[in-house]
Amino acid sequence: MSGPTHVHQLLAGPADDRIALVAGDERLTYSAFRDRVTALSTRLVEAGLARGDRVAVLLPKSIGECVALFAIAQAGAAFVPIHPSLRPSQVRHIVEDCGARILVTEPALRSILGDTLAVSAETAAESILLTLPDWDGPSPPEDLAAILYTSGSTGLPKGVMLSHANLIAGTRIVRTYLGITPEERILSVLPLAFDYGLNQLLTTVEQGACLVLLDVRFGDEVVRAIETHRITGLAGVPTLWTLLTRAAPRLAKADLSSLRYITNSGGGVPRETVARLRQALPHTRIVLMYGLTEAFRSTWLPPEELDARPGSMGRAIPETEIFAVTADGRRTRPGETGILMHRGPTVSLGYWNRPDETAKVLVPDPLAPLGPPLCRSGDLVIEDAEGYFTFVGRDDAMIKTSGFRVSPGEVEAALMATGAFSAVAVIGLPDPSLGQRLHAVGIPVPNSPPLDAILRAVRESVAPHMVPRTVETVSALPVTPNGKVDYKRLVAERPNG
Amino acid sequence: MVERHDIETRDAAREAIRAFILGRNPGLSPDSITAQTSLVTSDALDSIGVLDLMMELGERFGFEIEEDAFALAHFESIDALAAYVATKRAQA
Repeated sequence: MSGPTHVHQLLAGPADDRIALVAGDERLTYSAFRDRVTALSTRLVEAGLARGDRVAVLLPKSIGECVALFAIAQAGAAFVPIHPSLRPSQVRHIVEDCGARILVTEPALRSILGDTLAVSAETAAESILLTLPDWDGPSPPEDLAAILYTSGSTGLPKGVMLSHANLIAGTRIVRTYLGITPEERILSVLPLAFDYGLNQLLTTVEQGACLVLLDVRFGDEVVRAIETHRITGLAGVPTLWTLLTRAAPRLAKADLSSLRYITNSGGGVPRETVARLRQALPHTRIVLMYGLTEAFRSTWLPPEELDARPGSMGRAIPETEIFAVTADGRRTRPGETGILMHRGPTVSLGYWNRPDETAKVLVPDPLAPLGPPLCRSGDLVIEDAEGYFTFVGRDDAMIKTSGFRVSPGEVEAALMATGAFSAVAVIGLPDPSLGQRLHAVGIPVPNSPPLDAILRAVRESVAPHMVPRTVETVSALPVTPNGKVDYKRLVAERPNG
Repeated sequence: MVERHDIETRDAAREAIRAFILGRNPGLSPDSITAQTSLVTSDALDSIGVLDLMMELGERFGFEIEEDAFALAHFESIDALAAYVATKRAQA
């Protein structure tokens, strides 16, 4: 084996004068990128960072954020990118849970956090390094590169530990099946706190290509960015395709012939939206993918199969085996529903500091019990006779909306904290734009406050994607025989919301 | 009288847009959102927030939200969006 074994080594290859990153009017060559990474890495070490430490990064989508991730890796630590739309209490949970030694942030975002966290602060140029209290938990795994926080079916967000080997393998695999070259100009609209947003940065750097960073609010901004920068590749979640096909008047008028491929992850795209995209982008390859943070990517649908296999989530990505098992552990027959299992080099190291939760998701490989574990996804799928998969649903109450995973419990806690309900359950209902939309079903207390007051209070404690889209009041919630809320029945009784 | 009706709609739309933005940003000072605030260059709303705002304006002021509603020019200021709402309302 040759080539980079650590994420920051990817940055060593590209020629000095090539453009690596573009954000607004700012352009950064690979040479300047390397210089900024080394400067910040030195600052981090001088601030007391040691090998194996975690560094949380709370920055807007920016060149500074890309620099921070590579600098942390170069300093021998693990980076923990935090989505900037999270509310202060959610940020605090991540920073404290991962035991970060340092938080890299900027003045505007620091102010929302208050002064409760930091031991000391060091400010230079646009970034602030906050040094945090010592953490006395267990040591991290040897090869830890990153921790990405994501929600499950219960509890607060958990950190998925990714090794350098995981990230390098994900880079190599995606670059291979998408055919990414040094000539690529990739538009980055996904957060770097998402595994696929991070992967776009790494594949770009690995190839010495160019990444254009964009914070998207309007479909026309995406269209303009594709035109202006002659973008060749774009990755999105279902919401982005809704913006482009329903809320971008410029799409029909623009010359988007540079766009070689688009990829979707983070939820299924309705067939009608796929049809609109094909019509608007006749020269663009449309690649549908499936994955979960615990194993990065699992399947992809080659674009030439898109017409023949409507509704398919594709087949295994390179270097990877995907199959489904029944509840009693037997491999499914074609057409039979089972839990998707993943064997390959992108299976993560499990959850940070949560061995019991890890044991549910990373299971021994029956073919090699002493080797790397398999990832048990918790997603119900059907495999056909040719190795293509179709998504059926979740085997638990986890919700996926707008590319984010949401634990019903976290939203229910925010709703209960308003004092408006004696009991409440949050479910995901099908939504063409969001994949699933959050719907709350609650038993109101007498003289409960008006709905807009309830939602305003919820917005103060959780990020926008976690605020229910609709709230329904009932006199009782259905329960299972062992007395828990029956989420499956709540969903089944509301097929279209 | 048509003109006066227009101005009233525009004022009502401006207030509705401000109230929507403030509702989506708990803790934000009401003074920080003015008629000149841009939805394109500020963080006032995210992409879902923009879609929701337009749905709400369409329902409240009685017009269909079509693709053209999302032209960037309409979002360069709250005033510009309020003027667009008044135009659509007059046509409806």
